[in-house]
Amino acid sequence: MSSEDILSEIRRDYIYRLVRNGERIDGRKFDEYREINIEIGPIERAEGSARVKLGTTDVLAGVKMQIGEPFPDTPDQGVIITNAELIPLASPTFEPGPPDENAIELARIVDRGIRSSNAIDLDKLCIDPGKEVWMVFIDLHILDHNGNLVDASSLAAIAALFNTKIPNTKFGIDKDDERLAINDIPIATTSTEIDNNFIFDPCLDEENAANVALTVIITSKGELCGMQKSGIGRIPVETLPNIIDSSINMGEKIRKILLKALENNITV
Amino acid sequence: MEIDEKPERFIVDGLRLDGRKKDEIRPIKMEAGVMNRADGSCYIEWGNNKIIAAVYGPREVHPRHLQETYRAILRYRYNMASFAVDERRRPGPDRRSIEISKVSREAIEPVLMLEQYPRSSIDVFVEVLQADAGTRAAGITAASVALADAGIPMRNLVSAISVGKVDGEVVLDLNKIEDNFGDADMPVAMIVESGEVTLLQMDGIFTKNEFIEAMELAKRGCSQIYDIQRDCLISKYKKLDSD
Amino acid sequence: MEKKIEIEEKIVLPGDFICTTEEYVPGSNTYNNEGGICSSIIGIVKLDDKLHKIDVLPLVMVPPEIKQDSIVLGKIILLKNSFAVLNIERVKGYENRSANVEGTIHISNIQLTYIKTIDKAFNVGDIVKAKVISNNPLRLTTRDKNLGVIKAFCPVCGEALEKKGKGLKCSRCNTIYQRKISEDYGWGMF
Repeated sequence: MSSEDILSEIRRDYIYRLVRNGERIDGRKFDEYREINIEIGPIERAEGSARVKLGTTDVLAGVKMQIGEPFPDTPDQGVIITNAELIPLASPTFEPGPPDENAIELARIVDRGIRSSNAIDLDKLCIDPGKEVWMVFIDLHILDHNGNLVDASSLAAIAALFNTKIPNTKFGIDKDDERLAINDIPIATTSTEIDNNFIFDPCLDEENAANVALTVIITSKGELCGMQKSGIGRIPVETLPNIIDSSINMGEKIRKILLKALENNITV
Repeated sequence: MEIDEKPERFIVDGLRLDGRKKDEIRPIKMEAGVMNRADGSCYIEWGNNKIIAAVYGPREVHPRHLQETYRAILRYRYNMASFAVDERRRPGPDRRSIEISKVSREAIEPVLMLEQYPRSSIDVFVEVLQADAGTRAAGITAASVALADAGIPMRNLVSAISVGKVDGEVVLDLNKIEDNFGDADMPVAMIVESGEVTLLQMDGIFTKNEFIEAMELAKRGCSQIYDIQRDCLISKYKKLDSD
Repeated sequence: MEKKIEIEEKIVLPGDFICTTEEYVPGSNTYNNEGGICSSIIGIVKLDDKLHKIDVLPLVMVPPEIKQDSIVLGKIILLKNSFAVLNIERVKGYENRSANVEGTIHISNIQLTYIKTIDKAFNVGDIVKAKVISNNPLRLTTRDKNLGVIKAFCPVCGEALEKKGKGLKCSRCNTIYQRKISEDYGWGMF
């Protein structure tokens, strides 16, 4: 972060001291997430949408679908485009302007989880091979930044895709809109290193205090479908198996929360 | 589904297509202090508009050469989420949002006591999450509440609404179809208590008499908006006061 | 008397008329508007009958106000022969709001004992906790034990410095630096 808050710089020592004693700034366990709140479909005008609150981190994902040309190397597949906007409303450190490297990294991690888990069946999004396919735009709007945007955004994106209806009628493809078929639920789990401990779902102060974060994305089967090491710090190789175990565990828990939110939404 | 063609009639038996009377505003929900990081904020649902306004500052001006020695500068950024409209819009500012940002800033600035915070900036960010006609008026209305919520000294609140003309009749608070296919659209922002206009734009055709009628309607509309703004702030701070 | 209570218990918003200027003088968070006193923030009216002054006590978090004895936090941005300039970013009591003013610490106000040159106390980039002596011009002191540098980085390698005896030590390059250190150094709280 370019202009880090002076208080974050001060709090770094405090956070390290706490972690050394096995504690965290908000009293959580090292592998405990903040409260997760998922709102399905808040934006009626989008084809799909979801708003995820991870503690006070707040992300809105909107899905729009349009008809476009396929990429030449995949003429019979739909296209996914993921974009993240770190709008200056969400944090005093976000500046207006085109997406910076942080926004692009965020969008690409979210995209990676969806793509490599085959969450969306791209073959089914082909309308006319080589000519017309569905383009799925996943736009992530960060509304309040209090740490761990990756997990919140990934969750918002997959939740929004679940809520997405292919707008067949609007484009004159078919007389009914149909639900976008979702094959998998990739869940991103991020931890940061503080004093050789890996702490899941870092809040902003923890994120600023740490030098390295690791995101592991987990499929419904408990496989890994994407990873990202971010930040200038170093990760000892021998710690990785433990982190991955925790990630698989966390992924399972978060997936259940999502499924419950989806279920409640259908019954309503 | 949206109506994407001009309807034959906008007003049938005295009622508009969404069932409102000519001088009736859409339902409005407003909540102050909804964002965690911002110094002040307001979420507004106005019809199907969903908009967040957030305020940061007074704070250091970046880049520094923009700072003014005797007063704070006000910056206002109106932005629309790419999924806020039917056709996905490309993220980032376009000519429309730059103009809206400018006139909105000028609508708000008259009530702010910027001289109290020299060499700093007060930044207002308005994010349209879902657009449904009248976003600039809703943005100004929410921004004004967010500024009060941020404790920025102000001479008054600013309230805004748009008026227009459909089927040759002047109507209050245009909805999306009226905005897209109507004959005139006039967003107005006012300091209700003093009766001063701080934003005025007009698009379409009005006769002088229609304009006067429209302005009268806008005044009454702004006054209703002002009451909602007051209720929103008082209900939030009454709670804090009694706690 | 009745009128007083009526005025005092009400929540006022920016622009709300409180009373005429014939009755009272406008105090904090109010302004004079054509013979009337109006509020400029969300708050509760407070009457001062002795001074015949009217104030609005804020119910909102207001931007930081820097007064005499305010505790402030900032970074040293400039060293001169006889003083250091601190860019104040936070004010105690207003931790959630950013502040943006510059204050000076005169060499005589750094510590109780004699100090030969200012670079024995501060370096550019140090995070310093200070107390306000006067507001206009903004002059600061770090004489108290809990005031002074609360976080500093090694000018050579950028590593956060650790407290070592009366000085600060870089654990990477082992250099020792002299500073006016606050007893809160490295504690991690403002």
